[in-house]
Amino acid sequence: MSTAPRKGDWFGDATFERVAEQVAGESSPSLWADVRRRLAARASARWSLRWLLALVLASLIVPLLPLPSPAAMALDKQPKPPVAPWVEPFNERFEPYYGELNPLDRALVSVRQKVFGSKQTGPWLGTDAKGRDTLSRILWGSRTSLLVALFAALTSLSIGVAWGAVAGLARSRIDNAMMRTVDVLQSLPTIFLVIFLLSFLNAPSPGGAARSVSRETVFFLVIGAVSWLPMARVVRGQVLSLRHAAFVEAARTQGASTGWIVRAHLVPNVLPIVLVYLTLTLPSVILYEAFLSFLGLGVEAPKVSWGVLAADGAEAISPLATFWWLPLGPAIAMGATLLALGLVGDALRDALDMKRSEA
Amino acid sequence: MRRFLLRRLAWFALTVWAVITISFVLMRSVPGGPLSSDRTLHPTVEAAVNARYHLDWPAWRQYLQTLGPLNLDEHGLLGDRSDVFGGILAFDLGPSLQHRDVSVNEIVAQSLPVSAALGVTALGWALLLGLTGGLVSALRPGTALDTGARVLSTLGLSLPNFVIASFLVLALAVALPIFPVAGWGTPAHLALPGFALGAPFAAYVARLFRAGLLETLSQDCIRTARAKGVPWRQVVLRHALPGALVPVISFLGPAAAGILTGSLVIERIFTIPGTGSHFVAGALNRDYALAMGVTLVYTVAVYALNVLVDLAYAVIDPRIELEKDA
Repeated sequence: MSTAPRKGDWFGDATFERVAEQVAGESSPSLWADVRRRLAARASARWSLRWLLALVLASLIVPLLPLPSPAAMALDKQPKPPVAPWVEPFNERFEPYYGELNPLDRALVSVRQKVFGSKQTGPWLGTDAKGRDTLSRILWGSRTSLLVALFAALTSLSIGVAWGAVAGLARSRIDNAMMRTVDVLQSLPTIFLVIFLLSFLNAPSPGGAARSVSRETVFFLVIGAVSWLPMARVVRGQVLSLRHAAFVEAARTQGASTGWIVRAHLVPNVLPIVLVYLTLTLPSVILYEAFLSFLGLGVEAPKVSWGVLAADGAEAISPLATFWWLPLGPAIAMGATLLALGLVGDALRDALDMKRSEA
Repeated sequence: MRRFLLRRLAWFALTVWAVITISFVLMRSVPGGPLSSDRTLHPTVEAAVNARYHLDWPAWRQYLQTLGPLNLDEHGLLGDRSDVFGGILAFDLGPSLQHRDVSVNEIVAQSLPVSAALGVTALGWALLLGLTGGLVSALRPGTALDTGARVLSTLGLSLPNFVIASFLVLALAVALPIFPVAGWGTPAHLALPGFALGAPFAAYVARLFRAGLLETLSQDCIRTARAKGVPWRQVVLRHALPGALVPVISFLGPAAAGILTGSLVIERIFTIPGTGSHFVAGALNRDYALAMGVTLVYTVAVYALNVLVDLAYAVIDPRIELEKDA
């Protein structure tokens, strides 16, 4: 390896060949391979990603697990404190009452019944005041919370990114109009309007007239509507600064088409900041769902979400009796998930070497 | 400076108008009036009630009346207003539809000091804990103290404030009865709700302050000051702190808005008779006038705070030009 250059060959062919060999051997990593390597090198990011993956997986297959139904009630001596899994691993009191399920979940539940019969896990995390199993409710509730997060992610990625990109690329008058719209929307006290909207839709209409839109649709629309604004702002800023970046101007002087510039220069450079902002949007949306659920404006029973559980837990606290397991379970689930999202976001930001900028 | 204020005033007027219009449209487009109940009223009584609240007017007249009060009858736009009440331009938010004989102005006047006390306590907690935490972890980066402060602040950002509140109550009011569980009246009643409300913002302030301090401490002027023999304490206090405070101050505007929003929940948990709990009750009981009035009050408050923050920003850092971002 470390053979000295031949006499008289100052940085001549031999040295050049050696360097070229070395570079080819290492094969310089692409940005994303580099990011992946840096994420994997960080224990907190690794564990966070594992947790998030496990959560998504669990929320997908929860109907198949031998859990009690999240809606089945039992009214004797409730709420029950947690019983350790080694004391009461399973019991045979499964009750197949789930409320309304979509066809896929119904099929999954019937598979579960065929496989496990009336076997179900014991009250490992206790039960609530109506005798519903806390563990099962947390796992079923994760579906709502993750769905809300997914929906918000989709709106930020579609509306937010498109709006920001168009504003950043458009002429300054259009850009101005678009960003002023975002300004006004952001300075509206959205939360108040949201509460207005949801509570009016919840109110029973006098003649018992059927509502044309379900409350859940509105709930999702509302969350989507408020979640894309910061993303639009950030993307627009990034696109604007990229438009005047030296390498983009260089590409343009060399005759590159707009499509090529967008594909080769804009998208790869906007993507990192979008990803990082997504890790900031998702926690705030999950908290938003909890907030609305606390006010009784979230999903309707027997559906359950983390927000509903946390709100139930908060309300179960009184000086007369402490049912500490009711707030604890959902708090740990929610806290761990938001913590994981935050840690992944931090790691991504560091891996992409991005300064924290507040928008 | 004057141009900046004027421009902000124009945006403010636009925002308030948008809030009024949107809430007005929302309120009128929902089925079921605010006064509809299970009991059917005698037609005469119903007509009298509707007349009292101007519900018998066409929508555009109700809108002008809410906005103005402007009456477009034979007396002209601003003529005899004896039978017109309410009107945002006249600072009259009208009568409450649920609490008979009480005006929204009276409810707001009664409850706003309560909410303000709660909000100021929360902001105090946020600044006290956030600045201390940020300072400690920035001066000893990489130590156990720093890690601990960062874990705590990440945790504060990962939990809804009502969950934090319920654990606080469990620990400091039920298990160890130091503070009252809920209620209002004495300074002790402020401690727990104020803390729960301020905790997420303390966490954020800590993160901002830590990042800001680390950045300013790595600048050349700091090394120069150290090199010429300025004591470390003085370097931090005189040279690093002002620069590091800029991001914290710019966060105060959003933080105030967030604290107002959070107080909706916290006031409910601790049964505090503040504006937030009135708003929630008003919205849930379809008391349009009350809900809209509180929304407006909060819009004005957040807007005013944001302008103040921008002004403070310019005072601390003279390089910032107000006109540019206005």
